[in-house]
Amino acid sequence: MFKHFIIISSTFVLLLANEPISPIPQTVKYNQAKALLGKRLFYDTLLSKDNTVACVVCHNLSSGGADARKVSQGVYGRLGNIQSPTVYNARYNFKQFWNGRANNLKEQAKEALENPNEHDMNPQLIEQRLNASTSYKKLFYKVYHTKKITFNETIDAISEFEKALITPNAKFDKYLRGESSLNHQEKDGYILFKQYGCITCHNGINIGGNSFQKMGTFFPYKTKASYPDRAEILKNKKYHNVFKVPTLRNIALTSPYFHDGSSKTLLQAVKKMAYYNLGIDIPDDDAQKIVAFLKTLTGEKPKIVEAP
Amino acid sequence: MFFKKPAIVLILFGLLTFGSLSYFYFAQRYFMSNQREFLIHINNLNNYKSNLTTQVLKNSLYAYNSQDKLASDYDGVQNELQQLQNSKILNTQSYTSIKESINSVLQPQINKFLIKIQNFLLLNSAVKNSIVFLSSFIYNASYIQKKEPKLYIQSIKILDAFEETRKIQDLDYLDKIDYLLQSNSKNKKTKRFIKTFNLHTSYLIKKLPPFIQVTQNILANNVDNTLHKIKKEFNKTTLHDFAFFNRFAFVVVVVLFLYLLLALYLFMQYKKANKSLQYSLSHDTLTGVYDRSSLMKDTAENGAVIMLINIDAFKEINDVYGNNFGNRVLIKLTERLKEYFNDFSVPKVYRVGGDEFATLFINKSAKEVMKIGKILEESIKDENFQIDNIHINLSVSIAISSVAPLLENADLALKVVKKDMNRRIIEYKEELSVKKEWKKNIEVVNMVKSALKEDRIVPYFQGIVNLQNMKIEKYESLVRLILPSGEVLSPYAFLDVVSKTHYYYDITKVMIQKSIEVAKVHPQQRFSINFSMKDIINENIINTLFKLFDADRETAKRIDIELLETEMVAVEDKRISEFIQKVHSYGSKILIDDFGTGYSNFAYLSDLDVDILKIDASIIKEITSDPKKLHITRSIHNFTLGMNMQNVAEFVETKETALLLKEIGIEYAQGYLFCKPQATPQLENSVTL
Repeated sequence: MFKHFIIISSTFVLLLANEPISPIPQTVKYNQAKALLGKRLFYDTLLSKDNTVACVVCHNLSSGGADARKVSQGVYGRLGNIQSPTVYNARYNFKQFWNGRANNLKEQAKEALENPNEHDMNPQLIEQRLNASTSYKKLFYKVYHTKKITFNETIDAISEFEKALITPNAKFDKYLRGESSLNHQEKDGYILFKQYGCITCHNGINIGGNSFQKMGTFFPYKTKASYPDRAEILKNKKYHNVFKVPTLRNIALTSPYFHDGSSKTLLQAVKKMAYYNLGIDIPDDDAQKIVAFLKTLTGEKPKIVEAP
Repeated sequence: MFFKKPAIVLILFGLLTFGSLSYFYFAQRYFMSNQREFLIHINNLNNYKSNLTTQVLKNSLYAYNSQDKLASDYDGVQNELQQLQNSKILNTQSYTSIKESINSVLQPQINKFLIKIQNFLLLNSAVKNSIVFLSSFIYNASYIQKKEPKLYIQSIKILDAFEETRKIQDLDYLDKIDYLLQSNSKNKKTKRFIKTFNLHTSYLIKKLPPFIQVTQNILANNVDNTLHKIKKEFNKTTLHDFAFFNRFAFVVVVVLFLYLLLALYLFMQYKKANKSLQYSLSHDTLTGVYDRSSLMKDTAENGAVIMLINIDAFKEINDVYGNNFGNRVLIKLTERLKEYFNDFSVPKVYRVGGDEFATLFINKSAKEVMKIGKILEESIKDENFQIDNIHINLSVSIAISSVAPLLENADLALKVVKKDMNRRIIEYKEELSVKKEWKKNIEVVNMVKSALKEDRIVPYFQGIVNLQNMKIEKYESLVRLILPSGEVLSPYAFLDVVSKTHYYYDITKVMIQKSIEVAKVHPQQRFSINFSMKDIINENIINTLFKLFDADRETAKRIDIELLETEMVAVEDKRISEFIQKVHSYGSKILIDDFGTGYSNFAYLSDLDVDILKIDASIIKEITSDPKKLHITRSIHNFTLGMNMQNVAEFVETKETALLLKEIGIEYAQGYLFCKPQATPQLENSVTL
């Protein structure tokens, strides 16, 4: 009996060797002038063909940086095929988009601008529109010292703004730094989060966003969504239903959940994950505790968003 | 010609050298930076790749592990591969094979490697997830622990086997174990425990073999080997390139060396040309000996004894035989001088003027040089110079000086010896008045200059008395210079010196103007002005005179011109007769001054329309004591009577003389007996004997 206990505890000692989550830094370095210009572009519908869509429409910075709708709506009311992931802390994702087809923020922004169901623009049209605006010309001249605005500078400014979009000082980050403590439920939730193995995929600074994993390891996940998974990107059936692990930061603010937006509440989402990726019906009590933990991951909005 | 073309060659060669140097510098720099770029990326790639491998191991070991580092290393490998493929150096011909192995070997291997990582991440998460879940699942199953201890222990053993298999990566651990729990218990909790447990162990039994395989695959990849090979090949190729740069550097050094050689050669050529230029600047072109400027330099450098040798009457040789011949005489004499001075180890002969040579003696006294000069002078005089069958004898005048300034002093001495036909050689001495005289001349000229400027040149008037009625009928206007002190200078003190300068004419002009002015206020008398032959042939003077005559013809009638008999032969008859004619046209008269001292050619005078002959003082002074002079006076008077002229006797100082002159019948007399020259004509115009 004692021997077995040792086995289990030795296993746990091994398992708990590293703290797998690290807090968001208080500040990050970025070019203030570029970021402010990027912010203006981020909010400007000029960057969509019919002047109805801005980046911020689907990445709502006043809530979680994501879209409350199941799928986003682009120009001319065209619907997308994916639930917009949050732009907050996106700089910490190792790839962008649910299926990771963009290597960085710039590639993501370019694709979103050129996607016919999103902004439906092209570089020439963007340059044409921006160069027609005297106020943009002035701003770009100030930042880039060029008389003619280029598409690359536009993307550069937007990505610089996105680099500034971090949400530090979440309750959990403060806990990790020893500045504050979690209540019983939250703390139990964190332990369960680790014990159920959620941590094996949701780890690192973004509590996710650093690997591709399969949705539905125990039971095949079925969805109506037509969004291409990693299998289509890599042309390999082995990666069916493999997506980028989403960040859990500010997760309480980014309902609905999953790439198909199939869960409206966190509780549902936790239960769904337990079913598909652990093969269990998670006890309600445990799920509630995990949700309580997840709610401690909401951070402060960056100052650049609040600034006029 | 010389200065233009080599300069172009030098510039072109310089440009070539500079071009190849800068090409070498930039090519070498470009190559180095490209080489460095490639090495940096391949090393980075290597580092990221091994970090990634480490992260894989770490992740496979620890259940709770952040994958952030793994993700960033994964990105790093991808980025560095891309950067490596974009390395500029790979576009070079010699790196084609390396580019080829990167693109066709390394890239696929890395892509495969990265896919393996992706697979690993999937499998690792799945395996870890289940093991972590099972650990806590068993730990939390307190009911089973109490009610089914055998089952509970069995579950721990199975989990332990899976965990060991995962850690040790040995599938043999799984062979010995039945991974599924079995129980006949009807208890719901037990059933659910077994179901969930078996679900995960069945999952693990499926996932662990590929997990172990992929992990081992990752560790045993061939990327490292390929990277190593590429690096080796790259280093080999760059060594080859470095060898090229070495050879190129050698060429550049050779080019640079050649350039410097060329520059040196051209510099020497230039110096040579410069030397010949300097030669022509310091040497006389005709005779090839040094010139005056060289002499000046040499005398300034070392005080010595100078010898100046001047050819006598060289102008005549030129005039008679022509300049060409004269030049050949000079050349011949130069050779002779060089030969002669060579014996006294005098290295340099200078030609300091058209017909003047010089030498410098450094270690000889003036006395010795005088001896050398005497021998030279005599030997030249005795020598027969033969040029084109023409035999010619030369004589030279020699002046030596040991007193600085050498050349100037010797020059002055030479002037003295030239004037003296009895001496042909002279040594300059301080007491030689030449220099003082020369100095005085300058002082005199300056004195006249300022006198003219300050209106201190004035006429003095000496009355000429009619011996018949003893009345002053004429005045001779005589030039005087008043010094600022008030002292009055007679023309002997300045006129001779100044006669070689243009101030002379200024004096004449002043005399003409002032005399006429005075004549205007003395309407009863005539006034005579002294003219030299120089004045007559000077247009300016003539014009001034006749302009004034034209301005006041009444006065002009009473103005006479005195000419010197001694000077008249030097000037063309025509010009004199024209002048006399013109003077007569105004009613003026012509007087011949100092008659009886020169040739006193009656025939000559008879051709000229002269009115009055003034008999010279040298005759008049002695008529009372010397019967010959008395006779001359009578003869002159007879001649003048016959020529319808009159006489003025000069220098009459005694009553006796005056009476004798009156007796002969001489019309006029002038002298201290009657009046001295005065600033203004005297008011009392009667005199008594």
